[in-house]
Amino acid sequence: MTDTQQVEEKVEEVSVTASVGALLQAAREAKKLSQQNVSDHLRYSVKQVDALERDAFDLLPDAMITRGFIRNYARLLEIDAAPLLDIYRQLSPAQSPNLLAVNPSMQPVQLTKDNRPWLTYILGSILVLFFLLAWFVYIEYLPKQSPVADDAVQQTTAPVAEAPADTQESSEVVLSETTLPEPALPAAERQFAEDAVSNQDAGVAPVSNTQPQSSAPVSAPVQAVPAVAPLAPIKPEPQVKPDPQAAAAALKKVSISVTDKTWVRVSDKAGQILYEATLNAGDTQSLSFQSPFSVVIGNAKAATVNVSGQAVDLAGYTRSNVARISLE
Amino acid sequence: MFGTISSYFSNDLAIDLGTANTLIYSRGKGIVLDEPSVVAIRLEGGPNGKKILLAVGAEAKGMLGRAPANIQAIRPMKDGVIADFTITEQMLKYFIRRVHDSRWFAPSPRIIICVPVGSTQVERRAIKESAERAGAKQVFLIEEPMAAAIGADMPVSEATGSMVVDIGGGTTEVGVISLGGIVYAKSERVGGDKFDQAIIDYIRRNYGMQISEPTAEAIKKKIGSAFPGSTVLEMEVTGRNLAEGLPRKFTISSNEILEALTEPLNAIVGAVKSALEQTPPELGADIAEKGMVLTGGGALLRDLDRLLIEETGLPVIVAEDPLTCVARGCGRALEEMDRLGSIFAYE
Repeated sequence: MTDTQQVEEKVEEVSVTASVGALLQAAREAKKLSQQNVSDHLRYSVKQVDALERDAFDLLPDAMITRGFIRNYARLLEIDAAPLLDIYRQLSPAQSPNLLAVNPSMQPVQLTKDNRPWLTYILGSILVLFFLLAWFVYIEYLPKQSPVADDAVQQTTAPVAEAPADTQESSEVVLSETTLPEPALPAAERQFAEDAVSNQDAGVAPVSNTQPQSSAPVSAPVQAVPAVAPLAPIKPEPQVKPDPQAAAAALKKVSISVTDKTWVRVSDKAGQILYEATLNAGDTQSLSFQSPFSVVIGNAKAATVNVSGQAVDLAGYTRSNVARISLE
Repeated sequence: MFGTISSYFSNDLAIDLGTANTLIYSRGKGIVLDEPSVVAIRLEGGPNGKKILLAVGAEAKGMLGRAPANIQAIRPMKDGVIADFTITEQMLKYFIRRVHDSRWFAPSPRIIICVPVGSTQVERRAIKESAERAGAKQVFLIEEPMAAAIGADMPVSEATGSMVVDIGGGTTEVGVISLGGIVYAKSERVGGDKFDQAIIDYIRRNYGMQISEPTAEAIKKKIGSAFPGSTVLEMEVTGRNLAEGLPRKFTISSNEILEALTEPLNAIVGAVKSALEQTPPELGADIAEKGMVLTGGGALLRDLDRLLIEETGLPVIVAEDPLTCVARGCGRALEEMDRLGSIFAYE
């Protein structure tokens, strides 16, 4: 029988007691080693070896040192350390982990710059809330108000919102609200105006079905403009002598219906903005301007444009969903 | 409260940026990554051309010594400190992203990273900056002996001396710790890499054969020994015969490896003895009673504890799971970092 077999048998005999020290002592005696031999080999004192064999763990250093001691001892005796360590864990009381700080009862030490992220989070949250509020206000309230106190436009859009289909009616409202005098052009003059416009359009080409504004005011076309273009009122020129024919030919009625939120701007040849607004879904806007002027529609897909009652195909003027129409 | 919010977006990390292996401990999760510190890059358009990150970690390590001319497998850490700043930064960035959970937010964790105790201010700043550029919000440094002692579950905060010897890939750190601080520490630029190099040199000198670093590492792990044991192990090795220029097989024994390792082992023993000489007597008495604890991959070298026992006459214990001791210690410091201050190192 070899030494190892003897040791194993001895270990099995003692294992009933489930004592680390007894197991080690049995294995040591089987190997015919004295405590002094073990002490010489592992460099633990004889007292420590004796304490371990008596399971007097309180006489030994920390748990991790004792575990290492048991491992080294078991390796010296050529036995498996794992069951011994399991027994040791059961025997020794559960120990709280070693503290890292010297005096944990003192006030927590603030690490460098550690308070700055707090400030960042607070400020960041406030900023985000502010933007959310601003967005909410913009979405909820701003579109309902007219961009500027523009009575004509406001009154135009309001009825249309209620009855979007009735664009004809809305155009009448515009006309009545602009306080323009009803046209009194004779039929012959009106025909002349039509011809003049169609001749001009033939040269320009984009708007093929334009018709002159038959109900165009003669006397104060420029004064009428501020009523529908409040953002950039044009300086009144009361001294200008109206030319009835030219005015009839130049004034054009544009009606824009939208099925989605759309930004619209009308500007004259010099780039002066005559009208600018964001129309909501379902709105219809009818406007009259002295030509030449240009219309820019921000959301061309959602817009339908009528020039003097004739629908304009926006496809020819649209690039990147923005339509730019010049009317002369 | 804000700590909770912050931890929701990014888990704080503790990194053991070692010469041989990089381990990452994630707060509340334990060790989440253990990869070799190797990066493979591909050169495009000649030696001065574009560099492209090809592989990191174990995959890149597999390319060491086997790559064609346009692929370089690089170990960006040398002797415990950064040898290639850009590659280290890219490697860290890759590892941090790998352990980061959220796909919606870029990782910006607080990081505790360990540094060798003997590293200079420039080397520490390089490690700190490299972690910051890899995405860290804040970087704390901790010295390796302290992290190793915490990881080995030593009573660092008590008024008793604890001695730890951390043998890593690039450096050996010897530290005497008491009352939550390092009383004496010494760093020796000897570690696993030096063991490998010593084996390569020995075989070239005595056998006239050239072997690669991975082969030397395999020899060290399989039959490497620090103290003459009762059994002699042997291993068959393939290398290139320097005279013939052809691959040849030969057998090497553990006693020869012990002879090869004598020089680096003596350096470690010298560092330990020097630390013991410098330790105040009161702490020396504590160490004589409790012994010193070995951590790091080098502690797995067969009979290294036996060598230190014989050389110093003190008890020596190999820590449980020595490879992850530093990472676990960094992790423990990370878990309690809000209450700690004195254990962190400065640049």
